[in-house]
Amino acid sequence: MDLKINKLPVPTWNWLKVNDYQVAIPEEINEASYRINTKDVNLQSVQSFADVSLEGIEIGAGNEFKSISDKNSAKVCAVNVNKDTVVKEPIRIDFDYSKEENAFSKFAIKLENKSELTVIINFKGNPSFGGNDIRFSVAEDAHLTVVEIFDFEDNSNFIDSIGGSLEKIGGLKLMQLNRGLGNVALSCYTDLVGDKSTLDIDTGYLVRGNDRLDINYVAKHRGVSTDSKIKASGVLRDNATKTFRGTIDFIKGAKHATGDEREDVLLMNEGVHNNTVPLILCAEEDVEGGHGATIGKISDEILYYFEARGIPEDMVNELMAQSKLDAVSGRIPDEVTKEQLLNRD
Amino acid sequence: MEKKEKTYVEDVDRSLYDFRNVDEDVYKVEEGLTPEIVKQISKEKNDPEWMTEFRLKSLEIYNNKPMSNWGPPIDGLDIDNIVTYVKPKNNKMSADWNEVPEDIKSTFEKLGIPQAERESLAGVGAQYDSELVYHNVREEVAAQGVIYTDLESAMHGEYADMIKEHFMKLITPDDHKFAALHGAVWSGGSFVYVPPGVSVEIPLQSYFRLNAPGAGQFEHTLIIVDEGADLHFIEGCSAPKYNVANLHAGAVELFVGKNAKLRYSTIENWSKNMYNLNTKRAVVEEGGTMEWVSGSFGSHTSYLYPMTILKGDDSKVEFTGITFAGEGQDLDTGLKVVHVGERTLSTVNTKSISKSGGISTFRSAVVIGPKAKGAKSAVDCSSLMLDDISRSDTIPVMEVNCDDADVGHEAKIGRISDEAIFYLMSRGISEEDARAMIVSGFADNVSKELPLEYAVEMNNLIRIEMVGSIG
Repeated sequence: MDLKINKLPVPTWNWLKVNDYQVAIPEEINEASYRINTKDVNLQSVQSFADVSLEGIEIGAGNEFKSISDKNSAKVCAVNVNKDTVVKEPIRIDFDYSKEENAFSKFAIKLENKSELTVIINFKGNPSFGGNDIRFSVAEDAHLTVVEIFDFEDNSNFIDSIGGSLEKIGGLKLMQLNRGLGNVALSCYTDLVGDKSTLDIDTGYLVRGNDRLDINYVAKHRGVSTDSKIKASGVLRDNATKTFRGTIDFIKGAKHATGDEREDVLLMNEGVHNNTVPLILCAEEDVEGGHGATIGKISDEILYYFEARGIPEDMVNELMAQSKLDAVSGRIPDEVTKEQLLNRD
Repeated sequence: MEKKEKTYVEDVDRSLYDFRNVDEDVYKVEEGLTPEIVKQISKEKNDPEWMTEFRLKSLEIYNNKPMSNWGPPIDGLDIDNIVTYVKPKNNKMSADWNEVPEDIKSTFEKLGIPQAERESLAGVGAQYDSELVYHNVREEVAAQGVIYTDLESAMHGEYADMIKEHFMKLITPDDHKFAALHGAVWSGGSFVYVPPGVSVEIPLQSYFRLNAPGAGQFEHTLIIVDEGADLHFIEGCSAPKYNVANLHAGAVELFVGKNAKLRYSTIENWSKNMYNLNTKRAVVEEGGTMEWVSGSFGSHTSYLYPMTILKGDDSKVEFTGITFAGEGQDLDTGLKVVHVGERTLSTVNTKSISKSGGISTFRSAVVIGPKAKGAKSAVDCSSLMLDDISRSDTIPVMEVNCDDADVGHEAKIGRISDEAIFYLMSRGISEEDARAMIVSGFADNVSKELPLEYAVEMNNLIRIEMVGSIG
């Protein structure tokens, strides 16, 4: 079955082929198995997102994916953090698709007032199709951090979708690091409903071979003085294809809102294909929005600097590519994960 | 107080554009679009056989193409209600203003065209509804071998083969539905040829006036600037306001030769019942330069994205544009650039302003092809919202298919800062004037690219739009 996911909120010219991402998904999708490690949070397995009142929200991958998710029989792992509870140790979730063909997983994360939680998810293996649907609700002055590390093997196909809302002074920090192989689709739709709510997305990627990475982030500013920052930084090698869609949407009434999105792409081989699509939609006068992108190879000035110090061009390229991923890894707010990533290679 | 006499450059107001002639002594085809109407237009134009076939083929493409699934709504436009060809009875294109019919001459005099021709232009073309009514080029410019004439007579003369070779080769009827419509019913427009090495020191200008209610204007502009030549071409357009939809679906095809340079400036001020679905495209050969200066002020709905194909190595394009969307306007404007050759360069600087419920959308595509090694592109777009009932969207796409490229994009959206208003008001300037000054300053990068008289006109248009903008 063909599915259109990661749709641009406002379409543009069809010939550019960036309005959505078409993927083939199997008819039968099983429930994915994963290992979840937490000492401090009670987990609950529920039949559907409706059981935790998260069925109605918009999600990053879009309605076609949502419909597939809702029909899928996989149980929802529901995480609820009580009022005034700060969970110090992150929840760690590990997926290994080595033994799974087509698998789906669902998480519902609800943070009550003034609570805090970090969730760190590692994906590895080689799913012929894998799907993950995370829906969240962050209440007043609560803060959710989600870190996802994608380390798939060759010939993998994976769709990761996140969607939810932030109440007053609530915050979501999302870090996504795609450092493996395969075709991966990432997305996040955040409804900044509450005044002074904040969204901070920090993404790093390496795409190589004939692989494809497709990204769709949407920040919907409804509340007063809301703030979003979307930052993506990555490297394309060989014949890789990457599409980045980022949308900052200021709804009327979102006074004093600010939003900014940046993408920085390093192109390393002749055959790469890059699409960068940073949208700002604005129906409110009293806002400040910005977007920027830099796409290209390493500048001659940087090459010259290193070459003057005896470092050859090939090595400079490798160093710069690695440094882009390491910079994102270094910002992960968990020492264990950071250590694993920075010392692995 | 003595009333100041209006002149073209000093005091422009809406009434300058919003006057109309009685639509009685004209020849027109039936409303709608059928093969019979297309054949009738072709017969009226005395088309060569290949053109008649081209028109009918375009109509077929039009009928089979879907409407676009992106962009502003165009539900208010029903082609069955549009008259695609209107011409003044007994009209004959002339190189002498005295021979132009009186009411039409009066129209262009009110618009300041003859005066502008005398003062600052190398040649002028004036189109009224579907037909050119006047075309003239200065003798010294003609003596350099520059051809500036109406496209239709050129099609039957010395340049017939050149026109056949270039006509709708850059914008083909397959491009989109309204390019196909243009191919079927096009009428009027200019042909310019600048021979190798010739530099036309002062600009040529074509002015398009649509007078008939419920009519379409489909002029075709074809400009060929040969190797090492240089031209500045100015396009102006206006229409009186009616309560029925008018349609403008023109086409502009620009061929910029090796090491040649073309600047194409437009101040678009169609009336606010106009659907402006115009297509403009340029191809630039090795070392050539294309410059677009574009001001969009009028129209009810616009789809306008001049496209540049940087085909030759070391070719470049500069695009400077401003869009001002006021009450009832939905202006979707921007550009497309395709880098094909090596070391090609694109520089884009655009501003958009939304006010009184107007919708302004900046839409762009920068495509770097796989062989465009050393290509560079820099896009900078800024949007200003003047109230909270308007809308401003930015939809850029950067497609890069070559590692040896350098693409940068910056965009900002915001409002006029209270501090800036306060500063000006504290120096005795009224709030309305302070806001108008800031908006004019915001648009300064565009106005300084225009010849002085057009920059003055643009600033006056901004001032007119800004009146009553407080509260």
